[in-house]
Parts: sequence; structure tokens; C-alpha cells
Amino acid sequence: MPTAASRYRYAQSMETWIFWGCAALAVVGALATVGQARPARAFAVMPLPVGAVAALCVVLNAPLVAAALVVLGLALTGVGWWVATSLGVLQERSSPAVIDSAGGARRFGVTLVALLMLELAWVFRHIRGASLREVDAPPMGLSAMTVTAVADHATTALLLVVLLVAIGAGALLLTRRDPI
Amino acid sequence: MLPEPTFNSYLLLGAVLCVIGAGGVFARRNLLTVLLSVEVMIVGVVLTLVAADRYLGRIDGQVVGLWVIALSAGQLALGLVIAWLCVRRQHSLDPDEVTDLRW
Repeated sequence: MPTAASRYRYAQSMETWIFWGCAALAVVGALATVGQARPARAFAVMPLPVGAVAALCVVLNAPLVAAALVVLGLALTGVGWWVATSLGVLQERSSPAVIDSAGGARRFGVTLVALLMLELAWVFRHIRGASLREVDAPPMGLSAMTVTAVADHATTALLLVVLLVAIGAGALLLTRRDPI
Repeated sequence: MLPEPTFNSYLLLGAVLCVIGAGGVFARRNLLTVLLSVEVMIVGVVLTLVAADRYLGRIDGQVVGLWVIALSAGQLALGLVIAWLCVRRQHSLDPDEVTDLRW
């Protein structure tokens, strides 16, 4: 019978292995998604990083976010695959390694990535090596999240609903103007 | 033995996913792949939010993460419709050839 200490060490070790395994899967999957020249293949690979991050969310005690990510991944695969194969266009004309956008867009991208790196350096300097809290925190269920969303973030929730309605209306208008 | 993951590890992974997605947005020449690159960035952002949530012992990060996922689903729907219309009208998914939405 393993002692409590050994069970704790085993759990820690499992979390470590799960983290590094899922991190490798997520990075490889993201690179494979971005590097595909055929969108249908990219849609087929996309569940890999989404699933890996969903597994990490489960490790981080956020099962609802993980479930939402899984649903998003399934929707991406299903709808995206259908659209990509239906369109029939689907090979990029030039090598994917060649950046052929306009100069302004390229400068904007380089500036964006540089700003992101600066921000990360600042964050890492302040929280270097900070350990995460233990997983035995009280479960964060749907009711607790609903209360937080309604009480603390009501304005943002309202804005989000308005934005989603606007997105839906825009998509409907576009498809009515030129029926799919 | 692998090092135990810390808050930094999760932040670094989220940042790496964001940078990979940003690279895809600026390097790809197909609207659908650009859309997928944005989704990769969003996945990195959600991971960062959830990790910060766990680090701070709060639940707000998960709430915002769910909203980000909902928005990304809407963005995906709209992006797919626009891609479909681009193909119907211009027979191309090259973002450089889409001029209808220019100011």
C-alpha cells in the first residue's frame, strides 16, 4: 500500500509527464497546422493542439474550458473540413515558407512579435519559477462560473452577447446576399 | 527526470503557441489557413488565462477563457462564410487578392 507521500510524488510525476507530453503535442500540432499548404489537411491536424491544450486545462482543474475546447476542436474539424473540401481550391500557389505579404503587414507582424517577447520577458522576470497551487482546491463548477460571470463580468457578458449577435447577423446577411 | 512544470512553463507554452499562430497569420497565403493560425493563437491565449487563473486561485480566467472560445467560434463561422464568398466571386483564397473589404 503506497503511503500518502509516495502517492503525492506519483501524482506530481504524472502531472509533469502529462504537461511535457501535451506541450510537445501542442507545439508539434500547431507547427503542423500552420505549415500545411492544403487547408483540408490543416483542418485535419488542428484537433491535435486543441486536444493537447484541453488536456492541460483538465490538469489545471478547468474541465469546463477543456470541454469547450474539445467542442471547438470538433467544430473546427467538421465544418472546416467540409468547407475546405467543398470549395475545391485549395493548394497555396507559392511555397509556404515565403513571406509574400505587403511590406506594411510584415512590419506590423515583426513589431507585434517583438512587443510580445518584451512583455513575456517582463512577466518572466517577475514570476520566475512560481509554483502552481495544489489541485485539491474546491471544484470550480458551472454554478460558480455562472455567478462570477453574472456578478463580476456582467458588462463584458452583455457586450459579448451583442458581439455574437452581430456576428450571426453579419454571417446571415452575407449568405443571403450570395446564397451558399 | 523532467523538470516540474511551473507557472512559467504554462506561460511559455501559451506564448509559443501565440507566436506560431502569429507567424502563420503573416506567412500564409490562404484565408482558411490564416483563420486556423488565428485559432492557434486563441488556444494559446486560453491556456495562459487558465494557468493564470490557477496561479491566482480565482475563477475569472476560466470565465474569460470560455468567452474567448465562444468568440473564436463566431469568428470561425464568419471567416468561413467570407472565405466561401471569396471563392465564389474571385475563385481565389489569396488574402492579397481580396480587395472588396479595403477602405
